[in-house]
Amino acid sequence: MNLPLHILRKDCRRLRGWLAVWLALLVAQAALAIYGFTIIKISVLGRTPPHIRQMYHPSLALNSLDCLESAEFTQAARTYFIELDHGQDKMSFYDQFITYKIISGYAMTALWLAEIGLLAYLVISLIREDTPLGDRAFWRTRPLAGVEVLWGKTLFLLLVIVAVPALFQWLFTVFAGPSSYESSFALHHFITLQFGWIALAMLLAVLWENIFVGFLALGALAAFTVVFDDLLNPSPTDLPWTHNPFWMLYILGLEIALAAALWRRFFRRRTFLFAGIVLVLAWENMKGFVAPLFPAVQYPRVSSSPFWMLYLLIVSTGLAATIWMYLYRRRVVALGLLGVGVLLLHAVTWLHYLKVRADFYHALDSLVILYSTLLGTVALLALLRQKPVDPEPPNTDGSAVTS
Amino acid sequence: MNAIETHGLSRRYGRLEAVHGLDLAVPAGAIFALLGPNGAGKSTTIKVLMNLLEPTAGSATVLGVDSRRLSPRELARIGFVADNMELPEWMTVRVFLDYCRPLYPTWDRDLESNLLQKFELPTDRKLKHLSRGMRMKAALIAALAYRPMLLVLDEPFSGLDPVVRDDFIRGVLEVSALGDWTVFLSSHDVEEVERLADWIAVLEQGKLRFAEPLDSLLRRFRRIEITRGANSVPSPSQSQKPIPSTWLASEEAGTLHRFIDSQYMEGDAERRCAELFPGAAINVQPLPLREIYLTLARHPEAAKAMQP
Amino acid sequence: MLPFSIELRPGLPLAEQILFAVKKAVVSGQLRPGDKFPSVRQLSQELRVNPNTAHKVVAALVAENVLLSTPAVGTVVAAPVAGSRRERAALLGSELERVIVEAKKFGLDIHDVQAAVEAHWRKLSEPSKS
Repeated sequence: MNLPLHILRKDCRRLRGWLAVWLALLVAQAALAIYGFTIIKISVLGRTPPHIRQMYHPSLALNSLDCLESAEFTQAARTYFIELDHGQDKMSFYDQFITYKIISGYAMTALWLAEIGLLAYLVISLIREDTPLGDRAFWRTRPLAGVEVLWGKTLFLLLVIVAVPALFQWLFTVFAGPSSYESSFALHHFITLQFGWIALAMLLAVLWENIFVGFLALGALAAFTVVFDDLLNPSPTDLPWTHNPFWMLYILGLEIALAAALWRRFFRRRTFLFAGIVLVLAWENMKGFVAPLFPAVQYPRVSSSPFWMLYLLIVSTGLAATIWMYLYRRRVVALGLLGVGVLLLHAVTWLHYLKVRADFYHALDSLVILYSTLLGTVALLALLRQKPVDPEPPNTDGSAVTS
Repeated sequence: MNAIETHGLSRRYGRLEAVHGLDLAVPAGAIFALLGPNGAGKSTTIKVLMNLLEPTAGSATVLGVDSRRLSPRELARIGFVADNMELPEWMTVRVFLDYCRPLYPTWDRDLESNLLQKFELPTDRKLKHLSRGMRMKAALIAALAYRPMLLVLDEPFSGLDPVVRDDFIRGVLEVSALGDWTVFLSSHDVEEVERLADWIAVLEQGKLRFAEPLDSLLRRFRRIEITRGANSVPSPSQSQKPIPSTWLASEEAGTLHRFIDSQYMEGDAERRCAELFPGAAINVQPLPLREIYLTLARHPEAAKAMQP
Repeated sequence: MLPFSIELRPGLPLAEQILFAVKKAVVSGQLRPGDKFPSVRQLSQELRVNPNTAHKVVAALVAENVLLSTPAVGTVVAAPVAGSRRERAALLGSELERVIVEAKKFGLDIHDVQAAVEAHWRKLSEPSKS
């Protein structure tokens, strides 16, 4: 009997309702993206306007109709339509196109947020079912090794959160017919992002007993950063602030809080586990060796941006912490990681503002914001912290023997 | 060969020592009852034995293996039921047993269905929709069906009504084949375990008060009642004859003397009584376990040290 | 269901109670020679007692030739070895002791006890009214 598969089957059975919802979301996203892409194709009589290729992110996860939100693109497309119709007024079709663009923009964002929310829920739920921490987990008194449970959960995540959506992603890129560069980039980008979300969900679950408070805290941090950032440094060349990763985290936090409020029982347990971020790290490292073997495939170059480093760190520490927990059932490591994480955030913030903005005072500013937010978050956590539901030390009031 | 051994086992929570210097030896084949009031450290001890907690000092050996190194190989021969254990509540009884079955190579399907029938469990109901007693029974089937070498029960009877309790005991006895397994159970109720236990051990405030075979306890404790006759002889407190130190809880009222002999030997006590109370009527009665428990609680000097 | 009457009382040694109940059943004819005696497992289950206790009881009964261990059938009730009246009367030992102690407390003598025994015997020998 293959025990990891046994556990995988059990978890699939338990989450089958949610897996159906997950699948539905993926299908809806793909359908919307295909429809949108079709409209573009149709609207230019079967030919794809040149601008699309340059601005198009064939990644479902990143809202494949990103480009359509950009003002320049809209302008260019309009010009293109007018050119195409030799000055004839085909505005009605164009209006339809723009309407679709606006609605789909919201729809795609909503779908994507729902997907991220469900992803977090799946990860958390998966881990809470067989947590390695505490002394109450059912599997601890059964002949199951920590490694087997870990593998079972990993297989689930790889299948459900990485493989199936990746399949949808690939199908879409095939349909959209981008170059191999674009499709490999999209896939790469997508998988990276998925791992990122998983790792973040798990790391937070590990660090805070009350997971929704954790997310709220992170969201508060995000909100501060976003708001102050944009107030102090409005810049037209930046992506709209809704694309700011911290803003996304904030939305995610709200979603998790809502989910947790609806399913109160998850407050009580701690969760954790995680899937092969090692693959991503290995991928990054291996590219140097693999690329010369397959010259036809162009591998995207990874920037050495501080955010990327931060991402790698969070994700790899999440993985390490998880594996450590399942093997040794101790949570000391996770708390130590938090310290490392804060240091890193400091470094990243500093570097980003210095390197990207070349502005010392902004760098200082951002650090002030960072630490004040962190302090505020800690205070918030302390206020909202619930008592752990670990078995309390026994009372020794010497209560009399019954009977 | 001991199924369970502890050597100076201690476990502390912060500054509180839940278990302190516990030395226990559970012989294989015995039904060993660990008694004590709430908060005595029984659950903590069991959690350490099952490697749910680590000892802060000392060690414990379960089925020959250090408790910290319990691997699936040992766990496949250990059955565990606790009164507040977390079960996968979303599973139906059938799904739950289907889930547990592949984990144990010695699972006996016939025994499983036999117990299901005996316990009258509705197999298609989710565990969370079962009453407490039924949930315990389901957990018990999942712990018995593979005929474990060691069965560990943490307060198995608490909160169960008499019918369920009876079912529970019958289920355990059903699987019991002489000498083939050891049962280690904890309880705060003496009467629950009176019929089942071979050994009685008492834990109080984390320390072991005594551990002794039940037979030995029942054999050596007697209540002795002396009614001084018409030719009244002064009581020992009035005469100068010493009362044996093994006679406890001595009380007297009028012509009646009553005490508990903690080292009773047939004939010996009667002779002693005749010496001290010539001409008196002597009535020797065995002492119920509950009374023995209370006596030892009040007179800890009468406890015998546990033979390792 | 066990083929002999027994009522276990808490506090008293279980093995002795069971032994006594079996012997009484054999003497009174409730258990006849050749009757199949329950196995140790059945005994422990029915009475809800420790199997070791049940085992000890059966072993003791076999040692005292109350039961016989046959290879094919299992344990069966042995033929009573000319249980004399005196031996059977001896089984009333503990009850009699109690009666006598109580009687002495009340200050009765042996004749009072005998008269009381006769009176009660007559009462219980009358056919029951229901």
